Amino acid sequence: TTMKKSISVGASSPVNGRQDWDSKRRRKTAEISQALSVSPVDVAALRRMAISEGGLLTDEIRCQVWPRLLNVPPQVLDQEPVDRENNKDYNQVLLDVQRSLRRFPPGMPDEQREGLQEELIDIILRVLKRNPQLHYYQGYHDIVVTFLLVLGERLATALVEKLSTHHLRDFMDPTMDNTKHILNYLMPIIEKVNPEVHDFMQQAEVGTVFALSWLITWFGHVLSDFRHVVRLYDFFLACHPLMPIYFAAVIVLYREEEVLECECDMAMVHHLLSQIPQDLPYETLISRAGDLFVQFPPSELAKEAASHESMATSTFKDFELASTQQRPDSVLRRRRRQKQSALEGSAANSVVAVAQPSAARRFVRLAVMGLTVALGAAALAVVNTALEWAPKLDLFP
Amino acid sequence: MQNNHHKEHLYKILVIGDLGVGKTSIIKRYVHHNFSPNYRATIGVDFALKVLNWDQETVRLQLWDIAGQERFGNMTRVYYREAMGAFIVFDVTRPASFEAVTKWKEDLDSKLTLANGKHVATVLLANKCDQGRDVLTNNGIKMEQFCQENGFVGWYETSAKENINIDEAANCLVKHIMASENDMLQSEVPDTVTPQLEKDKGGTCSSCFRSQ
Repeated sequence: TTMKKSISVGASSPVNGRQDWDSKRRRKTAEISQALSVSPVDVAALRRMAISEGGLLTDEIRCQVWPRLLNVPPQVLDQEPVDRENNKDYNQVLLDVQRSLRRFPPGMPDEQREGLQEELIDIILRVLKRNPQLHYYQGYHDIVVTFLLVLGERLATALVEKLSTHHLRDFMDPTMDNTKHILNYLMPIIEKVNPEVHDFMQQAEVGTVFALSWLITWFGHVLSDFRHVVRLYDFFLACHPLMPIYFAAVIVLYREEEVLECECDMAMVHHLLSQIPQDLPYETLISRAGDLFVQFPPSELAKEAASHESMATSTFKDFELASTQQRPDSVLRRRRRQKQSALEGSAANSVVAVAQPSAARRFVRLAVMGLTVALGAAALAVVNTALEWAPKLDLFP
Repeated sequence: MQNNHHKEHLYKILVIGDLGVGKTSIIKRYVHHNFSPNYRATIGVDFALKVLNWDQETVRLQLWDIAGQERFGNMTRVYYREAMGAFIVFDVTRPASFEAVTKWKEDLDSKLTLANGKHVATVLLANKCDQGRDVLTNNGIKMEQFCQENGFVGWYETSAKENINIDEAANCLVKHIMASENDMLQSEVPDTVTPQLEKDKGGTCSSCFRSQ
């Protein structure tokens, strides 16, 4: 139902537009409350709200919805104290947190900010201490500060821990090899939409490091307006872990003219692309990223991404596995049902069970392409992701 | 190409060293003439361009600001390609950042050699000298000797904050880059006349010596 409403973006006067948005906002707030109040909580609806126009609207709502999107219980236990002195990451974390002043609201009194910076250090060290398999990277603090400012220390710790073992897991390996691999998805996406831009960038040999900080901080490091950062976090928390790379591609594609006018030289193109414009039309770009995800899902790009640089297939298998942890509940339920029927039924039955999703996917894709820039179309991406993964029953125990 | 007038040079220069030593601050000071205590950690690589008038010639410097965290190493090394010179920076208030200098230098030399097989000209910067010089005095390090042993063409105590020695260090590096460029041209075309190296530019350069 949300989809239909958000599609009708008609031209209207600024005053009407304002009223329109106010009433949309009220309606959305009510829908979110409704989804939160049912038992069990309607996580699929919350995901759609987080993706569709305006995202989750306020930090108050985010406090309630973000934990749901990551399946973190709202009651969080007290946190154990942190032993800073015997922590191998302390010095580095301290250096990065000291340099994160710009991530705090401009008007905030120094004393309050310094208190939050102490909490920021504690959250990071606590999560790293509890998960020795995770390795700190510069930029991790940009993710954590966003959660801290929205949720406060206790909830932020719980969510960051969950995120670190799922969405961010690849960035926290001992090396950046997996991160490099994920960046390899960027050029194939760009090529699908605009081969000219792709070829130009290839010729300039610009690489993909300009998008590194975008990916591993979910744009927190490069966007100066906190409202834009949390809006994107709504979107990414509701989506597949590779969505930030689709969003990166959409930004490059949005700047197509600038890119093509740039001197075809590695340094110049790197410089242009790494300076992210601050006035991006976020809602439109979010919707486009969702569309691209539906049209060119990760599984279709995997081969091209891998061919950009050789890498162990096992790495990607692991990543797929990590991704399965983030499916919407409804999908997990459907998958369980399918698995059940596959087990119970004959061989013929299981073929049907596997074939169904791809037929449905084609239908979804046609629908999305017909929508062009329909705000909220990205919500379908979540559904599609689910279908995309559905045949791989063996991944789910 | 005998005519030196209106000649343009483009040099790629790397700025490397441990995290938080002030690489970004040095570049901002040199290129934009300002300083902020609030620069963020550099993730990946940044890039800035500085244009110099050098006698009758134009020198364009591409300064590549390379992230200090070791784990970015295998992503950022590709940016070493075709560099002609480097600054290796440490923080005079943090001994560990000085201890890492030889590691950065070895890494640089292993990844990058000039067409004539020599290492690129590298200047060592002891940054944040406005905050004390503990590392330099307490350990009794003889910096000249350290530089010669480790293949630095010179070293400077710098402060991006107070604008101390940044231009001087850059001039020293450019001078050595030009010298090595001439050196390479000379080995290709034996007839070319070598320009005088000690045609001093930008004041004295007491701690700046030749790499040979």
